[in-house]
Amino acid sequence: MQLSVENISKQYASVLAVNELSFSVHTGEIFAILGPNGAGKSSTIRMLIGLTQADSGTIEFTSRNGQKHKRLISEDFGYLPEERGLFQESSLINTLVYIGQLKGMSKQEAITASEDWLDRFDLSSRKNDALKTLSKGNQQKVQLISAIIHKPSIAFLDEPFSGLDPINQEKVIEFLIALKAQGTTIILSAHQMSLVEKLADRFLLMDKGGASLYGDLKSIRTQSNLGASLQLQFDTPVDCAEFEALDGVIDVSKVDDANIHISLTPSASIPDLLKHILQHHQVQSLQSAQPSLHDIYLNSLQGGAHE
Amino acid sequence: MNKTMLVARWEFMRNFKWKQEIIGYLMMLVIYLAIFAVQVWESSSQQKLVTLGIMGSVEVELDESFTLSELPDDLTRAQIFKEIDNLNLDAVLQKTDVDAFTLYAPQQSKWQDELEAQLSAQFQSQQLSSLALTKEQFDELLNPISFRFVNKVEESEGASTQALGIFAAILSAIAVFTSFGLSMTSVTQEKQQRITEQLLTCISHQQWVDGKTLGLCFSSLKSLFTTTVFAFVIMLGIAAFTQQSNLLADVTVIMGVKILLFCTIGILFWNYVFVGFSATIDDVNHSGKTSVMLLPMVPIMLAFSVTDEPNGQVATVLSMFPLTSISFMPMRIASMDVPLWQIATSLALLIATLYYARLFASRVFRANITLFGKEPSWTEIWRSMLKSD
Repeated sequence: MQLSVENISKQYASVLAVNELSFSVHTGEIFAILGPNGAGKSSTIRMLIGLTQADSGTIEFTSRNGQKHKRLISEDFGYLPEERGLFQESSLINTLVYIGQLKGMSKQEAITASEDWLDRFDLSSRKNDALKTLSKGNQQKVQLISAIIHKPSIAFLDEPFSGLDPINQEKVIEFLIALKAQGTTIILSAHQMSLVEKLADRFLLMDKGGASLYGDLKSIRTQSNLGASLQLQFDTPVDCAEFEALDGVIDVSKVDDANIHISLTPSASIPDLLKHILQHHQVQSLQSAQPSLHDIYLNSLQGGAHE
Repeated sequence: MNKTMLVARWEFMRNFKWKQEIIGYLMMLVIYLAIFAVQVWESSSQQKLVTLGIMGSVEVELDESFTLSELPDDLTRAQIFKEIDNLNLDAVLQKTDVDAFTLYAPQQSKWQDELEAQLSAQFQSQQLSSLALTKEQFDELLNPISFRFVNKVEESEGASTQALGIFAAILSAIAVFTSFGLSMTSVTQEKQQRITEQLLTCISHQQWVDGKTLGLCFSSLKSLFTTTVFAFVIMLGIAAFTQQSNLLADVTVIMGVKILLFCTIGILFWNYVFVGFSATIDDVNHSGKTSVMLLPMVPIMLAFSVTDEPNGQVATVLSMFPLTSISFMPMRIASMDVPLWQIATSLALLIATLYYARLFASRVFRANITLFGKEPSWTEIWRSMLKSD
């Protein structure tokens, strides 16, 4: 399932939640929508699944056989809402089978799928327990299962990691990778940058209802105006000013007398820079690093990104 | 099974607990057995032989349940009670006047009423004999008058039909109370538990409202069924031991079908209203709107006040007005033979109202079920009701 969004906007009373937003999502990829609270991520997802209507703009879905649709049908997609909950008094298995049936599965199919997913999340022994007896993390797993139990071709997961401990976060990552492997297109929003960086193929960074950065990691690094960084250890003490004058260097900071950290522009040539440094100094050790999604995110929201 | 019926089944099963149902019916059985036991106990205690002391030579003719033994007629009160203890008597009877007796007994018992009745009958018989009447005249005087009530429209059975009318009104009250409670918890709880968005990706608003309303209607009808079975068992028990006719034995199949029809459509109507309105409430405990949901109780209370006049103007008009017919028409049907045209008119109006209740409830539900935080104002609810999709 492919998705194409052109200039969608949504206004609630005096608040412009989404402003002329455009992006596309490819079949079978994990697409992450990032941004601070109130950036318009959930509003965008709610428009994509038809819970609310866009005031303007177009949304188009293309199925694997090339057919185009303005709206998704219930059986085609799964949704994990940001504001979520399930029937607290009902048993896990009853709840999952009910939702599976509402998503178009037969009762037997729903039972088989529920038991399979509960087993994968180590919840088989609790299947007849009421949801309210589970921990918050386990409830979250059940909620996640309910969103994809019917094997949708596209899944919208709003904050799938919220409320989970690191172990369960890893479980969810495994779950998402398994989902992608079965051909499901995944659109997710999250605040856990390190997890998203590991998972997502492409990113949309939103701010104030619009797109701030958009593309794969390499592309958004370029857009973000953040280059790589170098950590250098010399034999003898060095002067920072000597390095600040070099081409492609944004900032130089001293870790200690013989140890410095250099921030580079995206266009900086690391080989040229190293060649120059090695002509004048004895370098004991060298470490280079690309900016993380977290760095890009912060830099972008602090106004450093190129539009 | 289509999605509306899936939702209805889920809704019904959520409120239906096998364990509680079985316990309920077992309790019913226990109550029935308790009534049976009490009746058997009481009737066996009535059959006990009563030993009665008679002071002086008084001529009394009592049936075989009384054994008489003569005592002196000059005993004091203290001596009388001493004799009761010594001779193991149940009581001592003293004639104090031509038409007056005094009974000395350690405690009050049921057989004392029977003794009074036998003495009265004997005295009455003696008095009548002294008038030298013929046997026919004598029998005529002993027979009470016959009183038969004939209704203006059709012949009616009087008191028992009024009781049936009250029972029908109770049933409709149970239906509305059950619906009110269930819809409140069902809709607002789901809203509070944030299930709404997830479900709306599976089903449409209309399927959700229809399914919920149907499920709640099934739950209310189940409550009516349980209540009716309970009442039937109790009345059967009472009737078996009091030789009175069983009230529910007067219910015919046609009458039952008519009452069920009105109750079902009425429950559907109120459930649509409740489900739609509940979607506007965020928190049952802190909402000022919940009291409005008690409005349907007004026609029910009114129905109770006119059970003695089911064919009166008030009952007739209100049994055809859609907002009150669920309470008034079952009560009238149980009390009398309501003309067919009145039933047809009432039913047609109720079905038309049901159509609009479904339409407006769905609109209000759609506009408010995903709104959290501030509850909508009355103006906003009104607007959402009138706004078509």
